[in-house]
Amino acid sequence: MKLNPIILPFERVGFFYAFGQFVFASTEERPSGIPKALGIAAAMINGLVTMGELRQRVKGMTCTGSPSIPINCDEVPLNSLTPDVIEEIVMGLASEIAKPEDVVIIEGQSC
Amino acid sequence: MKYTISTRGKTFDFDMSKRVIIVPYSPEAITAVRGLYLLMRVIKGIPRIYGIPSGDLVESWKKEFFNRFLSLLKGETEVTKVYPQMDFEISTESLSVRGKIVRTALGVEMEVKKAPEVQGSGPSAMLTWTTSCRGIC
Repeated sequence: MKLNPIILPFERVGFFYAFGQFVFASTEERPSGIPKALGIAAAMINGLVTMGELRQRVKGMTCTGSPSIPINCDEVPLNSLTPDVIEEIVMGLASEIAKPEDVVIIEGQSC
Repeated sequence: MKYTISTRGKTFDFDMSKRVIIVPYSPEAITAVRGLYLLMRVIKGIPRIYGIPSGDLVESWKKEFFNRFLSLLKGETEVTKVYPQMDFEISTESLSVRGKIVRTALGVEMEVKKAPEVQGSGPSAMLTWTTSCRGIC
C-alpha cells in the first residue's frame, strides 16, 4: 500500500491566511490548488484541497466557506481571525480530508 | 516500510507500520520531516512499471525503478529549489534505496535484498515477491 503524505508545517496559520480560499476544488473560473513552485506552502494547501464546503464550529463560532463564499466565522472574514481560530480550522480540515491511507505530518513545538 | 533520515549528525527513524510517530522538536527534526514528506511523495509517484525489455528481468526492472525514482526526486526538488540536506535510506523487506542530497546534487543507489520470482516469460512476464508486499509497501 502506498501512503499519501499530508504536511501541516509550522507556518500553517500564515499559509492558510494567504491561500485559504484555494482549498476548494476547481470550478470553471478557478483552478484548484496553488503552483508547486511555492514549495512547502503549495505542499500544504494542495494536500488539503476538498471537494465539499467548509463548515465547522470553532470556539463557539460557525465557520463557513465554499468556492463562492469567502471563508468567514460568524461574518468575520479570514483576514481578521485570530491565529488560534485559523489553527483549529486547518486541523479540522486535515482530519476531515485524511483517509486511512494518508499520513498526516504535524509540526509543532510542544509534544 | 522504514525511512531513516540523517541530517547534520542526527538520525531519525520513521517506521510506517506505527500509527503515531512523535519526534522531539529540534531544527534537525524539521529538515528530517520535510525530507520524509519529499521521499513519500516520490514513492507515491512511482507507477507500476510495464514494458520491461527482455533480458535479465530483475536487473532491468531495477534500472527502470532507479530511473523513475531519481527523475521524480529531481522533479520535486527542481521546481521549488529546496534541497533538504540529508542522507536517507528507505527499506522494506525486499528492497532498500539509499541516497544523499548535498547542496543541489542528488545521489541514489538501490539494492534488491530478496530476489523476486519471475512468473511467465516474454512480454507477459511478471515479477512477484512471495511476501504480501509487492516491492514497495
